[in-house]
Amino acid sequence: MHEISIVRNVFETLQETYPDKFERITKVQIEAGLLSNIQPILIQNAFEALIMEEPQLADIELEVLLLPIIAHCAACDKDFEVKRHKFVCDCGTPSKNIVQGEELQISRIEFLEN
Amino acid sequence: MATELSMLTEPLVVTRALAKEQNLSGRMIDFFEIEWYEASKSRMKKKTQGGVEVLVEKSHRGPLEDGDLLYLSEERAIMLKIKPCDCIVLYPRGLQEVGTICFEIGNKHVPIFITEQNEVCVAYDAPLYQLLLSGEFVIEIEERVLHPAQMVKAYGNKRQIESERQV
Repeated sequence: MHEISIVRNVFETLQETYPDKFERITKVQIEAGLLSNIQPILIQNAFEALIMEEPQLADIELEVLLLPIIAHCAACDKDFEVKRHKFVCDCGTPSKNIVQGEELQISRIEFLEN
Repeated sequence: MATELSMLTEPLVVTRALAKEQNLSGRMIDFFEIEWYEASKSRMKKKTQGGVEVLVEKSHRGPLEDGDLLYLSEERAIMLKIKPCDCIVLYPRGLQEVGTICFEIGNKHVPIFITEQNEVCVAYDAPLYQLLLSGEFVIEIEERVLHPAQMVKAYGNKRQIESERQV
């Protein structure tokens, strides 16, 4: 249940990074890998709660993009998608070499045009 | 001549779902697709499958539902579609097991959905799946649509309780 502090941190970071443009932000996209231990519904709920506390955020859309887990197979020398946390390539080789899935990052910000 | 919606420079603004059970015959049915966890968002902008940009700015706090009618004209209807997702589906064998399952899932703070067939559904999560497997539950992973109306809420009854007190 750390999503509330994550959402607060996201908007604090944006305020620090864009002090002059913060009020023109219309959309914030967060990428969360399936291994990041983030529940998108809790992020969304935390943001809705934050809007009640800080109504000036109501004109911003927060979008959570879930990233699938991608691992690298040393035997095939190619990446494969890990489905339902089965870290095994189609060739049968297990892999713990994670290429994608642990991210938690602000990936896109949209501003109101002048 | 009707305006082609996909040519609009401004998004189509939707503040609430229209009344259900309207006659849609003769209209092109377009879909506004969202993830299950986006149904409660107060604001979101996306393109429909047909390329129409829609801005949802809800005038209320309730969630949107799969099948909600968002827009209706003589040519087109735009309906909300919640994408199916991998779900852990549990088939409880009694009321006590429902309680045990909901307790275990509730401790993870993730929403629980109970279907009309009394199945318990929760969005797939590997650690939770492993935890539930260690119990002796009847459990499957299935692709399902998680309907907001089937979500079990452990909070949000304040207004109802207050109104009951006023009676």
